[in-house]
Amino acid sequence: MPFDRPFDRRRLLGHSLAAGGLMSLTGCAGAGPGVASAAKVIGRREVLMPMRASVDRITDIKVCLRPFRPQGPRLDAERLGDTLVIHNYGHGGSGWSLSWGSAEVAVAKAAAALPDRVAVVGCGIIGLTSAVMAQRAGMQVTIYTKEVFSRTRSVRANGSWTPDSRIALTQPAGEAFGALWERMARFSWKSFRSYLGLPGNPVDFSDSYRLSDRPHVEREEEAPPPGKGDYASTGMPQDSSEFASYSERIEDITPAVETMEPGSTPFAAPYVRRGSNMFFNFASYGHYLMQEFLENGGKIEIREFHEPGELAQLKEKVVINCPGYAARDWWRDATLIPVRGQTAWLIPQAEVHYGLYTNNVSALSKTDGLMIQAFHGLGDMEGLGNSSELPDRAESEAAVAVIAKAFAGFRQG
Amino acid sequence: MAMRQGRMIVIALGGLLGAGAVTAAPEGPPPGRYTAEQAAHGAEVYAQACAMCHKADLSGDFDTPALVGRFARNWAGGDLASLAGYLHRAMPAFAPGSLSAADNVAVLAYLLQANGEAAGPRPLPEEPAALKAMRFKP
Repeated sequence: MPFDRPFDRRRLLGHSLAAGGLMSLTGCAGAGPGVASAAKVIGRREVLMPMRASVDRITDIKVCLRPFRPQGPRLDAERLGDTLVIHNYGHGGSGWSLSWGSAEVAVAKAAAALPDRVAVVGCGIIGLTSAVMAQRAGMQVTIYTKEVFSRTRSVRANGSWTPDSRIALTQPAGEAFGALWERMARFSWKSFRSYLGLPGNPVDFSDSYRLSDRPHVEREEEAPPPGKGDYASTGMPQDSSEFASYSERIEDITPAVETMEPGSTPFAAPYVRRGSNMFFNFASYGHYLMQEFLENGGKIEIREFHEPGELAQLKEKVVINCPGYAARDWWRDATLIPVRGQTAWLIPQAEVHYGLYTNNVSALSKTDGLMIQAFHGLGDMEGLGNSSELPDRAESEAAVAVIAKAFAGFRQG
Repeated sequence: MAMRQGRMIVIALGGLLGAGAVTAAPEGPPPGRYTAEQAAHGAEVYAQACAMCHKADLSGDFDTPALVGRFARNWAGGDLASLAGYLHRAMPAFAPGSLSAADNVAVLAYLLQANGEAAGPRPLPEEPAALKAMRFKP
């Protein structure tokens, strides 16, 4: 479940966020390669419509738990009696982004067992893409799930392209995972391209502006304070620096960030950078996925499993297990760590087609609402170990106020 | 006024019919798998630890599962050890595993009560081995 501001780069210091100092885009780590200078069009200012950020426009507050595994997503196969279970869960904040590539890996393992039909457990973004990929590979698929897509945790996420957000810790994931990650990210990226430009914009790109009162300074990650311990010594990550970052592997296909000339944007903030990011519109994208699944003869059975052994009751003897965070209880996977994230959803603004990041708050205009998310300057440690799914309205209201403030002095036209 | 009286009569009849149905064709196990005291304690624990998400009437909401209705269908035929284990392992979601064994089984008793099972003289046991032999909505 991607939840993280598109501008974030894990190699950079999470703590500097509080000072508004982090200005780098995914896939472009600094003043070096990948950072373009803004195209200068003299005398022209971009025309943008303002975001209507006010508390009384909040229509929904969603809380999601990213299923984070320090080792990276679980993709191994396991025998359970005469059933072959292929796991596909634990994608942290990268589930939406890596879904197609991860499904490709899981489906390849399923196909190798030569089944005519497979079961998929779970109907979140990982389950649904696994099911569609299995159909595309010629298999008949039944999804067994507690809830249909629109009520899964996937749809409580941010839904942006953040393929290495809380995807793993560098050490426990090991060297080899980087290559697998790259394969999944590239496969997903290409898969998403076939949804761009379709009616309803299931997958879309928009510009994203980062506003600051200070010039951008690229800061290298600082070493964590001594005596803090780490995942190896405490069983929990203790510092943002432990989290894996792989985005430099796909710099060649991901957009660069620009430093904007003063006065060239409608924002009053003195320092503005602009990037571009891909994101997913849940309603239409979910609809396309479900439509393909059903048109290809896919079946959905509403069912809740309580013990792994119950899989033996299924007629399918190959199962792709995509429970997301529920794997912690359903598969007794204690390696899953919840990472809480909360988004407020304001009334959609079709006339607004960009995102914003300012003072630890992000806003992104999506077809189903203006999404506003607060951060606390904790980098990758943000929300870690917090499994509360209760919305915190005060947090969202404060975040909306921060976005509203960013439009003070906004120049229209 | 006449209409209101008519509605009251219908309600009263419905109540009688409902009561009749219960006595004529009892469903589920014979009473006795938990005590009323256990369920009452379970209701207290529920109010403290569960109701903020699952709501006071156990109806849940869009993001949180209800603990009646669909819940009964989901757990029908499942053994109570499995349900008690899930409760203890996964709930409350914000602090999994924080309920004592006695509180945990009291919440389970409350859930049985809320799903239409009557109380009886014997308490619901805490031991998984004993719960394993019992079915939710057998």
